[in-house]
Amino acid sequence: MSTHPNGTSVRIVLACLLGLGGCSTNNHPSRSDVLGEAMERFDADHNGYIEPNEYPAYHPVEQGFTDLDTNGDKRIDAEEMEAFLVNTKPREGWRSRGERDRERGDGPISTEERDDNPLPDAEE
Amino acid sequence: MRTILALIFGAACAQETPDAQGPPNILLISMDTVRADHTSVYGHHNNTTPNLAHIAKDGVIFQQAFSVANESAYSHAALFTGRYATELAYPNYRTFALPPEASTLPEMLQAYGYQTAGFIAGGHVDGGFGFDQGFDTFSAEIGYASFFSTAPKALAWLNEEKDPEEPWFVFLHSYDAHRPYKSIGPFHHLYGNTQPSLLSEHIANSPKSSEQVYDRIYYEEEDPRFFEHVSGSKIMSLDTYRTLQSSSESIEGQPLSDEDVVHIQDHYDACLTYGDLMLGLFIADLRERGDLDNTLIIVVSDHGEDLLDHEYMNHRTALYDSVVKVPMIVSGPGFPKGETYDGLVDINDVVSTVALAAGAKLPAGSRDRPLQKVITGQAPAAEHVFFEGVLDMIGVRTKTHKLIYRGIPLDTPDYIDGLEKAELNNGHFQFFDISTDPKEQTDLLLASPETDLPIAKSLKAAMVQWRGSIPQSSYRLPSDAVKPEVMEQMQEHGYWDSETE
Repeated sequence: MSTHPNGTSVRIVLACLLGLGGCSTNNHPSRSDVLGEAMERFDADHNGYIEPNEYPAYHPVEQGFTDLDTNGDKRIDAEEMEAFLVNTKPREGWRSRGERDRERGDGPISTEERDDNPLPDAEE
Repeated sequence: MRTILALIFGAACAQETPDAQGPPNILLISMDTVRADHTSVYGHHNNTTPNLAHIAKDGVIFQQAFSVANESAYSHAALFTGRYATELAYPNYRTFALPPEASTLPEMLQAYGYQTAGFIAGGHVDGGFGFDQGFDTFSAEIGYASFFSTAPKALAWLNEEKDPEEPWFVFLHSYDAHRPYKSIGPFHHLYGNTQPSLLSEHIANSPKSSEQVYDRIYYEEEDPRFFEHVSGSKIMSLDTYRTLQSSSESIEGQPLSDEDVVHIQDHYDACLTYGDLMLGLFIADLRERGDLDNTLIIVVSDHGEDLLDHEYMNHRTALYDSVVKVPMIVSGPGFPKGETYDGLVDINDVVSTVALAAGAKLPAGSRDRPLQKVITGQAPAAEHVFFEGVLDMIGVRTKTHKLIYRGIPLDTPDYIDGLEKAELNNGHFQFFDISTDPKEQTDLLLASPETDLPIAKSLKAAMVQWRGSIPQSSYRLPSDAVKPEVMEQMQEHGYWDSETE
């Protein structure tokens, strides 16, 4: 499709000419589809659930699997994900391990700490 | 060719004018701190913004869209007025605010019968800085909030308060991508698959530590006011960053590895993804309500974030594309679906775009270059876009090159004269060939002083002409205008200090 040097494409003009201009924005997915796409990010085996091995986390200080798995069936379904998203205010409720170290008075993170002490798998 | 396109468009799109369907509703969305190249809709390798992609399917992606500044207050002032920030107030970020006499986008729409509502995520876009002008309803969070907080309030207003017989304007804002790069639940470590270091985790999650990184070295002391110990200056001072740079020779810092930098950037991408999801849910709710019929949607950002592509991690110290190239997606009346536009545009084009859609008269001083006309050739695309940085810098960019002038305060007497007389090799300029160096890694004035010098000179001439065309304002923020709790939150994030005028 040819493009004018200023960036205008003939296609854009033709779209207007043919009445394809956007009078409305009705093609956005539904709420359930948006949530479904979000679930798909984690649901590697596409079974409709996020299982512990699919949950991305490096250490349990983060809001973990059990925070979302409210019915305790060891998997997160779409309703649990939606409830978590609706009810969890971002940037509140937890601190990073680094921040906790500082609060405990461990001092600045040294190069040795950084190199020798990767984040623990199980603590706190 | 342009004339032909204009004639065709003029006939073809007449049905899109407000007379045919009534004035469209206007939804202006500002995703704060989102750099275009980290959105998947602009090609990033992480699938950060699928919901922006959905919006784009119904409209036009502006591939070469720019902010005109590198901080929220300057940028949102431009977004609301179609004018450069220093046209509106004295060029000092510490006293900057939108003056009462400024004619703003919501005021324009109010005059044409629109119901206007703003849902602000906090920070510098607060009413105390003049950003509530023209809003019938204005809600501002304390701190740096997410769509999580602002979108439900906008939805409630649309559900419960607006008059269904009148058109509406909603401004929706979020800081989801703003530091700290800290998301929730499984989104927090959405990207990346290597064990992060404590250092990268700390910097990603701390509100202010990212300001203590220079050239991939982290300089930390127990006291977060570290900068004051060393330099006696404040975090909003350019001297702070200069001091950090010079201190790097005498103070031992903690080096960030390549993996650390990638991990911090993955955190940013995760926050961006979470914000995109919250926005997607909001748009879905609007669709289900039928509120998207005859609605113009404009999604932009006010600036990006350098994320250590260069010397610093933030946005306030640079005018690289990482900081000024932003997403801009527009859908609704007057805009075809699923198209891209590759000409230069900037956020000063938004006011006239909305004015044309609403059938409103443009406020005095606003740039008259509506995007509906630009995409169809009825109005020329920009040959240059210009930038104002809050820390003594300005810039100009074409589609292929950029010139930055830095280190001279914008309120210096005879600034323009000094700029005009300045030699390109005096150390105050940077010059990049973006066509071959899109990441702006090689300053051609340093690498090869004679290379492309004619282009650099022409950009400097354009810069001089631009500055000369801008009437400089003397307006300064009244000292008692901002609520103490807003100021406190901004101090927490390194934006202000206790001795602010």
